[in-house]
Amino acid sequence: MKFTVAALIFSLLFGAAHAQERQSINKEIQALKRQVISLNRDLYILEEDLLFPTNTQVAVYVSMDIGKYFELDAIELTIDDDNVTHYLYTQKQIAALEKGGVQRLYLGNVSQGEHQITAILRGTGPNKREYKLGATQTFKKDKKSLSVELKIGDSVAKEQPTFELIRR
Amino acid sequence: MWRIRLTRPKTLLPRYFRTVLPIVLLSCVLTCAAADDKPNDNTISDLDYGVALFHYYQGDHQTALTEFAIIEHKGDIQHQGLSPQLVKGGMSLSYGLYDQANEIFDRVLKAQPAEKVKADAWFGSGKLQYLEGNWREAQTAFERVSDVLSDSHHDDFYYFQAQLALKEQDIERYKQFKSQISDDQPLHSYLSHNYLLQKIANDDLSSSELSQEFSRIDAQSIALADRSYLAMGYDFIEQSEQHAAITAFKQITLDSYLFEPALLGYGWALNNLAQYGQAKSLFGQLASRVDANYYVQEAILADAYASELLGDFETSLAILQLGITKFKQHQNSLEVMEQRLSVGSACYRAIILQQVAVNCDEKHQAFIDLALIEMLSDSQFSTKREQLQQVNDLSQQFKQQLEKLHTYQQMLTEKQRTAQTRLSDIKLSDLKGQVDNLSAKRDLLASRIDEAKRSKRSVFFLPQPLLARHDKITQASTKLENLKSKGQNVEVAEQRLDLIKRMFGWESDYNFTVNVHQTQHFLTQLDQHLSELKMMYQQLSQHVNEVANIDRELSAIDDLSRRITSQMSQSNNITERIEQAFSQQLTAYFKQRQHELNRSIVVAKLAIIRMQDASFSQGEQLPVTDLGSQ
Repeated sequence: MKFTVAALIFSLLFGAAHAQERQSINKEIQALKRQVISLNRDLYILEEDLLFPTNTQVAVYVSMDIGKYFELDAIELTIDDDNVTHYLYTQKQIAALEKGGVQRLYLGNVSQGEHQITAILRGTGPNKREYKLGATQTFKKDKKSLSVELKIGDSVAKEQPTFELIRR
Repeated sequence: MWRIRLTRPKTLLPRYFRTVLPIVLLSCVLTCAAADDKPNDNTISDLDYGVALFHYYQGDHQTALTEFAIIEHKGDIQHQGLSPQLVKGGMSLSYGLYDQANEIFDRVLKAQPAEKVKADAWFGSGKLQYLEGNWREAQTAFERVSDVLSDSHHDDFYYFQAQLALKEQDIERYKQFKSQISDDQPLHSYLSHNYLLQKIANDDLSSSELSQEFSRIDAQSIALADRSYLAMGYDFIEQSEQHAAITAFKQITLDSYLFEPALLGYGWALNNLAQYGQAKSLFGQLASRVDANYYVQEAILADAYASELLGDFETSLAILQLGITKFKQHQNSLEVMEQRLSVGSACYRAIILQQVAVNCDEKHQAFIDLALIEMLSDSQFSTKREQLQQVNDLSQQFKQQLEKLHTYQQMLTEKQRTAQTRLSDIKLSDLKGQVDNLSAKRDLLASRIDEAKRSKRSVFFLPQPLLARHDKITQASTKLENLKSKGQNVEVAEQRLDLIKRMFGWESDYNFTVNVHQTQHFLTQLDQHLSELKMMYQQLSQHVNEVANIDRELSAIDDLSRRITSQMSQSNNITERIEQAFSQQLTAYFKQRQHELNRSIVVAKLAIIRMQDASFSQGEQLPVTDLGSQ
């Protein structure tokens, strides 16, 4: 009986110590995670300064407003006749865009002056037909970083998808 | 009639399921629920905030939080539709940063937000407390959630409330909350399972529970249903409800990893119904397995027991003798397995940490017995494994960050070296003096041009050939003046020179506009060259500044490297501690299994002796075995 009580007390104490240790490790892991985020942030900022300085930086974003008439499959992006990216989308990414997420499709460098950005979108349009949308726009790059949004939307009146390139 | 004392199957498993299973399931359900915690509003006006959401919606919480940190570093979020802080709280919660999430929810609530934001924040706070196991605090927070809670949280909110009601054994409230959850939610399965476990714990399980339908739509729900039936089966055996137990065991899928305990339980139920023949057949099936895991071990003893009950002592004896050999073989296998699974070995990484390890071939995995699988899925063990995986992931990231920094460092050092070589012969101050001097001369020239233009001094704008002619005329005029002063007659020459002068003057006046324009053109060209020169100078000085900046950037890289190295050492320290705990747990496991096998050997030997004694006293003769040699 004495042994059973002692064993019980031991197991309770050991259990409590174990939980405490687990809790302490959890806290330390949380601290590590915070540090990873903080270091990732500082690294990103350093990277941006080194590789994409503001005076040459161009960023292209993709957003979707409703997207009822168009199921996006891929985007081909061209800057001044240079094909800079050809991106294929997963269902998860499409769902994230539909919920309001914005994708940073491209981050690169261009010289100051005028540049032509062309985007070609491929996917499924109304009546489940293969659909191709394209838009071209010329933007002037100055000392500030150039941000362009590729906005996919719906034209309810025409029952067709819409697509525009907007300077942000 | 004598009896062999066999280990009873009902003791270990139901207790195991009662304690461990709810925790395992709970952690699983909470993780699933955490992944679904997303805001609903989909109008984003701030692109960078949208990028953070893009990653968050895909379950990449770390990237989402990094994007968020970058936006916060650059300035405020230009977004109005949602409360970004609340979203950050949700991201932190999903990423396991409970302390950060707690701070954020507190801050949001203290800021007196709009009713909807407040409801979501209280929900987040309640969920956080629930995940931390603070049931009372969770309950308090959930009670403050108002009707305007976001739709996306609706099911989770009622799920947590139902779980809390279950913990308080308030079945009425549990049912109310459960009924609020959408019908197509897998959360129902978890709740039903936990409800069942609660009933088992309260000795309140009745055979009517067998009529309830368990969802079997995916692998997870099938495994959950199997666990529910297994738990019910063993509880029914305890309640001496053998038919109900058999019905429960029959529901377990054939390819389930719980099939072995189910078969053992089924056999026990038949045994208890005195259907020894059928029971023996099941035990025999299980006992014939190559390995001797806990259930096979139990089945061997039970098989011998059933044979004995059928009066077939010889078979019983043979089974026990074979069993002893098998138990000993398994003891040896366990010793090998223990060595294979020593911390840091290839198999340890492959099996325990579920990482790819080339040196651990598949046959080693066959060593793994069911009890070890159960231990690995035990909440304490799986928590450690999860922690270790997280720390490993973080360490990998630190390593990648260091590699990146190293690349940048090399790039910058090379850039600095090239720039320094190019700039070594150039003195920026001398160059600046020359550029300034040239600019001053240009300004003087421009003012003289203006002056000449205003005073219509056509000579000023003469092109080079005409200017030479003008000089010749001036020289001739001087010569004539000299000759005249010496008393010579230069009248004719004077007349001719005067004519030439007048003609030259007419020509100069006639071409004045053209010449002025030409001069202005030259000045413009000079301006262009000068501006190019200035630009080149600016670029050069910018380059010089950049070189100076490289030093700053290199020092920032050094600083970052130091921080990363310190975090790496911290993560190594945590890894060591977890692995030490792992090692202790594995040692304890192997010790326990050896102990169980020893016990089974003793039980088998005892049974053999008793059977031999009994047969001797009844005048029958059973083969005498030298148990000492076994």
